[in-house]
Amino acid sequence: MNVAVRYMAQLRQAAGAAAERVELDRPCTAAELLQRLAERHGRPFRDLVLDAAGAPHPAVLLFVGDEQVRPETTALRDGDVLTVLTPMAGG
Amino acid sequence: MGEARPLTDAEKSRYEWQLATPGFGEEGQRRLKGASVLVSRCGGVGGLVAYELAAAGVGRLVLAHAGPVRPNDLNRQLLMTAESVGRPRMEVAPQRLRELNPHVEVEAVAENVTEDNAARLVGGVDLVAACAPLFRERLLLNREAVRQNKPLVDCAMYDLELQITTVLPGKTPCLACLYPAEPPGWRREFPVFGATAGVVGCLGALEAVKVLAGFGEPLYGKILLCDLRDMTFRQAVLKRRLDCPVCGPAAA
Repeated sequence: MNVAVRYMAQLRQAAGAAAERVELDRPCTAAELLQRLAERHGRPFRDLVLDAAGAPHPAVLLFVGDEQVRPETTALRDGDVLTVLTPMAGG
Repeated sequence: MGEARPLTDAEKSRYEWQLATPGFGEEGQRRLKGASVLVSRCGGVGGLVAYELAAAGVGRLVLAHAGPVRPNDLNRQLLMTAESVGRPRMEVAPQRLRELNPHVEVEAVAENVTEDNAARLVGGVDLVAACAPLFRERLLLNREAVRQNKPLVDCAMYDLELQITTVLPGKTPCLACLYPAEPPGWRREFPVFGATAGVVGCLGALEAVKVLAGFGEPLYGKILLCDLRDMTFRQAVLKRRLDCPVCGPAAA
């Protein structure tokens, strides 16, 4: 299955792209996808999305389509568009 | 909310163009006049929020921001001028706002939001505009706003992107639902143009005006995400966190 991932804020620079497509050979949760992406992109991406234990950082915002989702409980489906955002505080 | 206050003839004349806004009218203007807003801080975003709220006729503005104007503030902090470099921001900003609209009461607090002053600052106003460059300050304002049942407009930017949401305590997710801990890797200095600060500041001010005057549809339970690189604007629905330490059942 195929999932589109869009990055915003600091993650865009850390991933080196505004968006990418990910081919998944089996269904997975948004948390598992974040872990795979962290492996792919390494640091500093990993430090922005995962905590020290390797779990999704609670401050990372995830949206499937136009709905916020929680990483551990969200099973991704073919064709989903996942937006990943590290919150902004620029003022 | 503060009590609506009657308008003078001079005020009716000054606000004539916005009084014609459907759903707003003189009643909305009277509500704005009776309202007060805390703007923290008063930099690139907060300065524009304060400027637009002063122009709109919010009765009392409380500005909180420590420190002097620096040369590298001037690309985005439009309340500051070249001549004001080195002067305290809280001397310069009130002066500029009073020049714009002498009908507005401006109270300047030369402090950033801390544990020591957050309850007092939030307690003195009807609405909070969170515009600080640090999550710690935004989370403090959020905690106090939820505790004191005051609406909070959170507006923020990074690079050419911005996010804005409005917290209505008890009804919507709060900022601690969005990020229960400070996000990793945030740096106080970040890439930004003044025009980006202007966009998010104006959006934040309009959110505050709608909430205070009671018209339109504020971003309750929604976040507006904008990417000004390609002019993409989109809204997403936010989720409350059942275990939220600020607005969840455990916080009560």
